Amino acid sequence: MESVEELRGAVIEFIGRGADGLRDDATFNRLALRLFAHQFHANLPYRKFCERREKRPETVRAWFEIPPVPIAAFKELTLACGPVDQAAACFMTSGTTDPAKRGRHYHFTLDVYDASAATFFKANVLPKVDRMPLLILGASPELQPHSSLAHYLGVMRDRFGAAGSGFYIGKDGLEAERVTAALEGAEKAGAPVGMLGASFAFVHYLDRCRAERRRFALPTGSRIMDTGGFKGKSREVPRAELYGLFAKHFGVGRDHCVNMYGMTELSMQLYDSPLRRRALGRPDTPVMETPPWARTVVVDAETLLPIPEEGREGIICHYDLANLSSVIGILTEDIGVAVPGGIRLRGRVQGTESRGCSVSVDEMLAATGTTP
Amino acid sequence: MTWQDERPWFLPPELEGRAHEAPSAVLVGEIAARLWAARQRALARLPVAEIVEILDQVAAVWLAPASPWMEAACRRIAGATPYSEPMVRTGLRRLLEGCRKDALLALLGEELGDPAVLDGFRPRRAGGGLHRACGPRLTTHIFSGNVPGLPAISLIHAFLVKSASLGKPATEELVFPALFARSISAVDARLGSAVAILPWTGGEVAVERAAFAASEAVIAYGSEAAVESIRGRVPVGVRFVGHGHKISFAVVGREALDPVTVETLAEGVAYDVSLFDQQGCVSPHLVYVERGGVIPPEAFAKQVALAMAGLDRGMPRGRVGLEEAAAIRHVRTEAELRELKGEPVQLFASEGGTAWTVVYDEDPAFVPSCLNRVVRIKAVTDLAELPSLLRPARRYLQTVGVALSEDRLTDLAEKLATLGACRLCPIGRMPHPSFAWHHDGGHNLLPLLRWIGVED
Repeated sequence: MESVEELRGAVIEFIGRGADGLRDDATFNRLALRLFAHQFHANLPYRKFCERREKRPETVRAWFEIPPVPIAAFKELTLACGPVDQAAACFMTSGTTDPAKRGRHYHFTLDVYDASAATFFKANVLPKVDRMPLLILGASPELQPHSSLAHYLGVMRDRFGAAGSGFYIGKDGLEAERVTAALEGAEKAGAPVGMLGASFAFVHYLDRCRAERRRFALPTGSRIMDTGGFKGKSREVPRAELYGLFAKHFGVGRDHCVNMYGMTELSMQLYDSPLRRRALGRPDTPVMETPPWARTVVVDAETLLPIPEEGREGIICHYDLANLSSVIGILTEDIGVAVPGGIRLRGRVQGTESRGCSVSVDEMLAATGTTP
Repeated sequence: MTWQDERPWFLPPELEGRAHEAPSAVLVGEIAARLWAARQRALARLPVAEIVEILDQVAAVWLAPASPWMEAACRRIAGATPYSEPMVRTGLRRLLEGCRKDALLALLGEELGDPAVLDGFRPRRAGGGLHRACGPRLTTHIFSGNVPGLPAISLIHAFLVKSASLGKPATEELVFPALFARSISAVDARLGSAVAILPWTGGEVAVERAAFAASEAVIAYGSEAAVESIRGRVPVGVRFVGHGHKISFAVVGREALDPVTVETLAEGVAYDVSLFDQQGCVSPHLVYVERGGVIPPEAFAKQVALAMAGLDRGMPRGRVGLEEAAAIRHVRTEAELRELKGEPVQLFASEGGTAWTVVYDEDPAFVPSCLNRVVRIKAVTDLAELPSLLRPARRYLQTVGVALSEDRLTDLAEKLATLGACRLCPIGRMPHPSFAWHHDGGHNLLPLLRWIGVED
């Protein structure tokens, strides 16, 4: 059995090859199988999950045969390759439906997570730039120690934030006046800034800008990275409209707006980045790209097998080598289609939409005035 | 005018040429006028006994060996809906077998006593004097697409009370209504002239207003929201019968868990769940199984799983969309995770795809199914627990399939009556209610009728 240190070294080495090299499928596959063997033996609930599917390290030959775990499992099971009291961090899902049942993702080392997150962030948000003032419409890791997004944003501040970087969500929520002051400062200074944060936080601030008839013209080279859905935390804004608002209120055009897709259950992020496409001389077609140390496949909901053709909707499934401490295969509840160079997101699974006499639990309980 | 005609509409011959127009209030008005006249000319003058004979012949034509009507319907419905052809065939055959003369007469006798009250004044059963029943001159039917063949029953009800019919097929199932209307016309031109089928987009207000205004009754099938919305648009004075979504389930008493009969019983459950992929209001969402029988509930669940697998071979599940498949995956994941955590749950599921799913669960809480052949088998210590378990679903309860001894059946029926269920039947027959059943707790013909009495 390989030691965790050996595996960690191998994953960090693989990530260290950077974001832009050729995709090395052979190395990816070998490393995925080594990680699978480790996780199969170190993680009892996962082993049981695999055994039910008759998948064992001795029989699995290719990374896509490794059983992906539905994200709901992070709520119900302890998917950790080690004793959880020794974990370096435990990131928890926001628990939008049942706050008592939050998914938990334990990390026994954060250097893999940090290397994965920083390497691909740099390639997508700050290609050809070393540091930039980062205005973060998010909470700090100190304020939200169990939020993977807060940790991620903290890593970016530390590694890429120039003087003047800071977090603008405090104990009492968005600190809009501080944001306004920072943006005015950036306009005066004339040097580009990066705004990073949750999509809903941007919407809150933009709504305020509209109410106050406020517009900024941020210096050339300024950029915006937003992430996540709205989850009832703000009004729902279609992506095209959001980019329109970014241009109108911040003076940042579509070609400087990056969308990030991340999950508590993963240690890598996907990006839709015009900045990266331009830096690499690729055509500017919107697409969510996975880093070289991960693979994203769209699977048929009926069979859970990869959909061979591009363009047909299915469920998104990720294999993330940076998920060293948990499981590398994750089955999401997101719908997407495979397109050249990555995937396109189509939203979340809504739950049943049956043709027949279906009554949902919610409807049933609502009709009789019973509370669950 | 034959089974070869694949058009989704069936209109009076004079208006056939206008079928390609977008349905309009004017067209609906003209169709209604023809239907009123045709009814007046023939249908209204036919004795009800003769109408029964004709409708029996229609069913016979469909049920004849190698009936071209049945063949065309099965082939085309399987092509146009997600349902598999063997399932459509089984469902249509069983449905039409229940529409023969004896069943029609039984319904008339059950609801009217003396069916001749539809032909003229007859002595009242008690209280003296005479009375007569008049059906609507025109009934508009808003069909749903979840159970192919069901429009036949609604049309037969209207004919029995001598009403002409204007039917709107569901967008998902445009085949059967027009085909059935053509078969009526082929058997008897007089009845055929009193029925029209016209597809229009649901909620098209002007068209619907014209149809409802020209009708004396409206029968609607669909979701709760759709039925309520239609009810709100039916003018005052027009009779309305609505059938919204319902929940059905099954109950197995410990006395029925016997090694000799358990296989048949499990096959019955599997059939009830599988026919029309659980999309009917009569399809069971879950099965309560009592502990203390020779066969324990978890062994019964396994038996049901075997039967589901067997049924899937002969009568495959239909196609499901991404959301439906994802909903089934969600149920399976939830069950599997609970099982991995050591909870008393067992998942039995088809391999590869999502064709069938049986979840054995000792938590007796009532949980509706996501449908498409997903059934939970829940253990209860005693049937006495049922009323409190069913309370959350009481607004929607409909059919209860049972395997119980006679005295316990009577006892359970009393309790379920209070909770709002409207039908108890043996397991294995849930999808096939008797023609005279109390559909959603009411009558079938009486809501359509207007009565006139002559006192002594």
